Amino acid sequence: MKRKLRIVGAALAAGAALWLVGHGRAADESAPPPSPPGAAAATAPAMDLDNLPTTIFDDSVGDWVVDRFAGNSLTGSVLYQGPAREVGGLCTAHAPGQVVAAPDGTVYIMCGLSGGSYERLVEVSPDGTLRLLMGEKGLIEGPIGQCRASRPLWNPKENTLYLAGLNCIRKVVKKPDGSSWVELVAGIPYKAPEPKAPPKDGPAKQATLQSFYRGAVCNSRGTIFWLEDRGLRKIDSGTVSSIPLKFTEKTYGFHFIMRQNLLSLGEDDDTLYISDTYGGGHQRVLKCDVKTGTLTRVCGINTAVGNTYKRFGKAADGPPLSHASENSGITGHYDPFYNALWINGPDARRMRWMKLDGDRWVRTVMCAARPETKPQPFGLKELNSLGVPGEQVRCHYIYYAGTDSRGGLYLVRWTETDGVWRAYNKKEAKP
Amino acid sequence: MKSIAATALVAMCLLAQPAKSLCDDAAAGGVKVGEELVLMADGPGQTMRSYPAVAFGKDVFPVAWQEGWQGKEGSSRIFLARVGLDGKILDPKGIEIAACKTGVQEYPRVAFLDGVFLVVWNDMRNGKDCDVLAARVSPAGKVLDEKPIAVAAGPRTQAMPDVAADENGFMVVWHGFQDKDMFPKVFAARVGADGALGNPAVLTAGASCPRIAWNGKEHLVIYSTNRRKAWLRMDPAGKVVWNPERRTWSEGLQGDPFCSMCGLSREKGWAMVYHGGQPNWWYRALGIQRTARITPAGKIDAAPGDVMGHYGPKGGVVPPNWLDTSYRKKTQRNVGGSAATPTVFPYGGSALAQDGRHCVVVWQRYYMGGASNLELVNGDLLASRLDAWKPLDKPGVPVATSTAEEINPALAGNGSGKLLCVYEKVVDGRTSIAARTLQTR
Repeated sequence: MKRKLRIVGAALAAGAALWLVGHGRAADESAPPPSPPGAAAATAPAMDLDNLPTTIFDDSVGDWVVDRFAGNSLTGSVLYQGPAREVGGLCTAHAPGQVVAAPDGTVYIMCGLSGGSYERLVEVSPDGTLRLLMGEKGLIEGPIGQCRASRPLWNPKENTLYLAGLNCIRKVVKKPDGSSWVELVAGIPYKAPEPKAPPKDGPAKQATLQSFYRGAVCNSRGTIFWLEDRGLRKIDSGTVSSIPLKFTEKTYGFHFIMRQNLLSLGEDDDTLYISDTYGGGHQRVLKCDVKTGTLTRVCGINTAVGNTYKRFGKAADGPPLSHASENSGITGHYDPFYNALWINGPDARRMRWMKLDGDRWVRTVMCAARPETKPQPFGLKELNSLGVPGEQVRCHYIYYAGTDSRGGLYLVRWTETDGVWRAYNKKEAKP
Repeated sequence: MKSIAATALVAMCLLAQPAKSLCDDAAAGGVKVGEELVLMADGPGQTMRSYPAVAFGKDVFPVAWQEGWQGKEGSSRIFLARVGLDGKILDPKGIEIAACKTGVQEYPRVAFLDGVFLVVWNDMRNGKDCDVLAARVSPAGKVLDEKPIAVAAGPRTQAMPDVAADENGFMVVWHGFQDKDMFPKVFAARVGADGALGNPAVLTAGASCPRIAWNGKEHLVIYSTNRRKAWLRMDPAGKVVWNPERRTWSEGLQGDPFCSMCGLSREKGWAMVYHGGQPNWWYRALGIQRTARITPAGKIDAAPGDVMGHYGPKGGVVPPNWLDTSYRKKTQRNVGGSAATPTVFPYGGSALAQDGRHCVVVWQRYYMGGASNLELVNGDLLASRLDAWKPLDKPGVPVATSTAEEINPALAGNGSGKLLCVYEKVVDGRTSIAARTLQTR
């Protein structure tokens, strides 16, 4: 017998915590969708869970606006100086950029080639001027302009830019004369962990860190979490330690592909989201309680427990554990402004999210037009414009790059040197 | 008789030092590579110097480069040092082209005409946007323009200049933004050997990063657009004579590769060298440095079988215009594979110049390795003579192949078989500008 999901417009009776609210079922991170209540079935249009459309629009879809933030589609691949929308070279193919926004409005953008070559770190100041901050060659420590770039990481406790990569973590300190200086914080530069031995923990500058790490975040206490192929580590009070992980599914370990931006800080200082991107038992977004090391799947079809396999590996919206998936791997990044996980993947054509304060369905937010919306012409001009309606954007391989505290979502396209966009909900966020 | 000669040659190589260089020459084909020179190792740029450019005139090679860091908190300046035909550095302390108190200068280019060199560069002394400035330098090493020539110094970005010399003077091209334009345009302006600046003209819109080469009759200007490189032909009066809006596959390049070119002759057109795709995670990309000839009509003339796909050459046979390729060399797998087996991956910059009889190309090749197995490491430089698009010295003559990074080559020739190749050499994060003479047969 088919399970039916009824959409209701009002709140249901008390005690029905797992019943339906709004467009989908109530929050539940591990169980399949429950059967709907009979009372709701009598009043709401039916939605056949077995035949859900792959695109389910969020109510906010008409409120999103996309602005060109930095880079210009026609400025080539070399120039890194000047008004942010007039430069080229940002976010080159197959290596999506990573964007970190500081509280003062300064935005740091990392770009380079797949695998870590030609990496450059640029800064966009609040007045819209883009400057090259660090280049693809240079020293580990010293004046910032003499040092080699690695990926930006913001430490909110110290209000300081950190740099992650090259087997180490560094930070940018201000000298009394106003100049910036790069200092080593943890790891041994250019020294990777031994191939078959566990990574070396201990005093920060004696520990070994994977260079092509999978993500790094810093919480408000100043603790840095560092995701590697073989596990999760933290750097706290001058010590590097590995966090013992407890997988709650039969599929142990991670299977990452392609990218480094696979870790985000969650709702509090002890919650992380990890994008275990690829492979049959993987392809999941995991919530990590760093106090216990427990990892729980929050998004991505778990085919091992008999869920809807026909949607697996497709850009499918719906209930997160039974129906939501993404083509060629799934990623999820937490956005504190909207209290949502942005659901994305290497082949994404739509921006989707999973609101954590709602029913947790994955829904389409941008880059697809509702049936009632007349699509507008979209080309290079629109790609480089300001104020483009989010549902009119048409973009292959669009990818999450970061967020800011004003409700901005930074997007890149990972096959072209097309630069960086900033999307925001015009009803809730600031341009 | 041939085998006796070969045996004798091998014996000489084994037994005697002078004979060793002879052996090297024999193995190297038609290009003899000189000793490495380092230009101004202790300049104000400390560990940072980049983007060398070189020309030839009056028996000297002027080498211009960016000395110092061009990013935030930087103060990079354009320097020049002359190198004689004998490979001797004539300005060991360098010549600062346009001293100023603020901002940065970057991406120099240089050309020679009528007894003067013209150096052009990006200048961001206002801290907000780039302008295109230029200065003339005499063959004796004297800067002739105390105040730089403001080729393009209007509001908004004016950047990425290149310069070539023709029968009427220097022709400078660059890209810039006008008024409220969303996209850049490519401009050209004449600068006389006397420093007189002509009016700028728009060559094409929606384009950037132009490069220019003169073939004795017309200029070829190659430029970047969103997903391709295209080119136009321009006469010495600065009039565009060919720049079709709709193009066939033979009138452009897919992607936006680094690209070098030089004029061959008015009958043969231009030579061009460009790379293939970058490494990617699906191990589909192919490292290629390849050649083409642009005919006087503006079409690509390349080897049969040279296709633009990323999966391999047509029929599995490496086309003869591929100077260098990773094809059929060990394929690097996805992350997690062994980093102990780096693979050749030709990629990045190249440089072309005339030796009087042929074009000579120097190209860049990397190995794949590093932390991800997909990092491009240990850049090396190789050279070959070209007959139109046909490489004469495959698989390439080693020019700079140490364990250091040797990248971003520039090349100029005297038209009689002597050339100077300049490049960045990176050792332990410290960059110097190095040079080697090349002698062709």
